[in-house]
Amino acid sequence: MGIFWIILVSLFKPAHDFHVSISQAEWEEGLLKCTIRVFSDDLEMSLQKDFGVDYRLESALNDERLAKYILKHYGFRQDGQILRGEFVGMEIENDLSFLYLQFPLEKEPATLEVYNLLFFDSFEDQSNIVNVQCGSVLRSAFLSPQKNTQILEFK
Amino acid sequence: MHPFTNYLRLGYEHIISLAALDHILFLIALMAVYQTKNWLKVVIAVSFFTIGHSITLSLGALNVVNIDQGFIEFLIPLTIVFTALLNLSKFGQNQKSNFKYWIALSFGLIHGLGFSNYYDMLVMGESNYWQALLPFNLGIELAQLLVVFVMLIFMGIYGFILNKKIRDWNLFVSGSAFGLALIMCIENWPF
Repeated sequence: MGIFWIILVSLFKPAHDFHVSISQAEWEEGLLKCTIRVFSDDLEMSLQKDFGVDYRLESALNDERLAKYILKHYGFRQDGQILRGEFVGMEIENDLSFLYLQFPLEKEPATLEVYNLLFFDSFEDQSNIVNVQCGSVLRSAFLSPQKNTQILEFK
Repeated sequence: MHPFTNYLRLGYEHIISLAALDHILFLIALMAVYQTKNWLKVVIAVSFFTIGHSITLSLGALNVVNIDQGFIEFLIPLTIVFTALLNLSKFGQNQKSNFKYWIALSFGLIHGLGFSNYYDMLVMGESNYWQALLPFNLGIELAQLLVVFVMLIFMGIYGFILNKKIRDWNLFVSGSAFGLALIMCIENWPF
């Protein structure tokens, strides 16, 4: 009976876990520029899984492994081909961290497959929203561990 | 999909998933005194609750709300304790009174403080209020109305089919909500 109450009460946490990341991508003159907003504590926890338990988020600012890590989890495919991306940098602003990426893409795409697997191995309820702006057309993907890729159509 | 739809879904799923059980517990306590035929009053009360926490969530932009998160985690279950206690009084059981709307609105303000870190995530640069926060709040409202709808069905079955008094339902629900919320208060005791 005691255990029942402990489980029940532990479900009621006033501070909600909000496992979300939101990214904006914009295509302009041959480049797809992206900003990914993540919660700093989520990112630190994920990096600790790969780089060791003592890893601090601040160390990632000068760590080449971060680029590899992010590009492995986030990107785009066109006609089944993965776009080769480039990690531009990161900013930490208290609770939030901003990751900047860019992907060379010569022509304005008619369709684009997006994927963002960040934190899916940490949180079952993670949702990653990816908004992509191509010219005047704005499309959005809702990615989750159950559906981690989506094709966006711009025409 | 348009971003609007996805932010709506984000708000909806946030309430429906178990992440926001204290929200649901508050709603169940808030509506415990109502008979099914007064469903419109329930919908209005719940909408006042949504307006309340939408306001504090939107205030994130102005950084005026800067209260210790630990204290908020204590205040939120306290609103449920208070609502449950109020349900035991004659005053709180008066279904015609509009007082519940104001309770829902002001307690909504407190629940919204629990969302403090959502604002910066949802709103940035070009993704402004209308694009992100509005659909997110609408999604929360939709999910809450679904909870209300399901509860009204339960309460209807209890009242009409089992022919029991809503008063007994209220005692049972308010008692349970009181107990659970009191434990949460003690666990999050800030002093």
